[in-house]
Amino acid sequence: MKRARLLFIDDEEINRDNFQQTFADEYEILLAASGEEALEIMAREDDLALILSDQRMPGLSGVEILARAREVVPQTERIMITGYADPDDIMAAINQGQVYNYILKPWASGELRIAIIQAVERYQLKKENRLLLSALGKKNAELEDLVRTRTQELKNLQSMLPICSYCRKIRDDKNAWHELEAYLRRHNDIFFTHGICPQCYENVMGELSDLGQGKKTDQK
Amino acid sequence: MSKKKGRVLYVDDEEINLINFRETLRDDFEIFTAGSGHAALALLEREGEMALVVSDQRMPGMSGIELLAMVRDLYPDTIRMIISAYTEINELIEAINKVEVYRYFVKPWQEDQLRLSIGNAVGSYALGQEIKEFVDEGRRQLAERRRNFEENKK
Repeated sequence: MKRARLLFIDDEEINRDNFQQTFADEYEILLAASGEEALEIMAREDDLALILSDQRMPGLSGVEILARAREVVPQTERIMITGYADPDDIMAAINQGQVYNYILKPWASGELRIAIIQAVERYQLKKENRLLLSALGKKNAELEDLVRTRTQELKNLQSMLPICSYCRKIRDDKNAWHELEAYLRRHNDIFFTHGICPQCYENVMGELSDLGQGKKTDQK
Repeated sequence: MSKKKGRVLYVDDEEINLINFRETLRDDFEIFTAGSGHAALALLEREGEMALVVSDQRMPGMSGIELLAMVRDLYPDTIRMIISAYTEINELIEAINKVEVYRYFVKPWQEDQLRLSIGNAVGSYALGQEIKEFVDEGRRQLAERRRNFEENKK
């Protein structure tokens, strides 16, 4: 399976290297040193599963970046990693960044790994859900088409009315035989197939039919 | 089209807050209140799923985070919010990592902000339910069409 893509944002190179080394085996990792760089990556790359951002950086703060990410790539999960735990920052991370997880530096790789696994899993579940939803819609439309075609076929079949080759009576859909002219006066959108009505069958083919039946039974 | 009001449960051990909350928001939402975490869980069992549970954090017995963690397990679709007079770091972090709160408000709350956030939360819950119904309805129709189709084939 394709590896999930993560975007890691931190202004300190050592942190980026550290993250890259820790998780490169498990994930496809994109790195950004600033919020501006991160926004470029978000605009360029698709199918980002998770964005992890440091809070305090020159330029855009982590909360600002994640709040933007919420608008630009709303499906992507967000995790905040920070060295300073300031209540206002954390509240902003909740109320503006809607972060999935909040992790304090120095991060323990075990804790961070679990948070990443869960966030990625959630991203994938939501994505799968969206795909299923659209597949369901498509399937429904296909079936609707099929039912429509099938219904039309049945209608066509039903409107092919048998007409007796001898007396020119016509059989309606309730299995009754009518005079052709009378029937045509009431229906003008019908097609015919040729057949023979039971009465004519009696009259014209009476003996022959008995013979035919006999023959068949003989052959058996 | 008359729309059903969103159901909101507010949990706080101070009765004056419960009264205040109810009076502030009763026109826009169907408000339920409970004076403790245990009372809240009993109410949910009795009244069924809510669109939103808003809880005070520090209460005797069960904390807001403990309550909302249980709500999350029992009613995963319900949106969760905390209103607290305190902004203690560990509580804040737990609110994210354990409860995944939608909003964290500081007391005393600002009425219009609270109303707006609750409106958003209720809307987001309703949207989730609509999607769920849409999928269920789609599945049902699909099954029915299949059945009709098989019958027509005969």
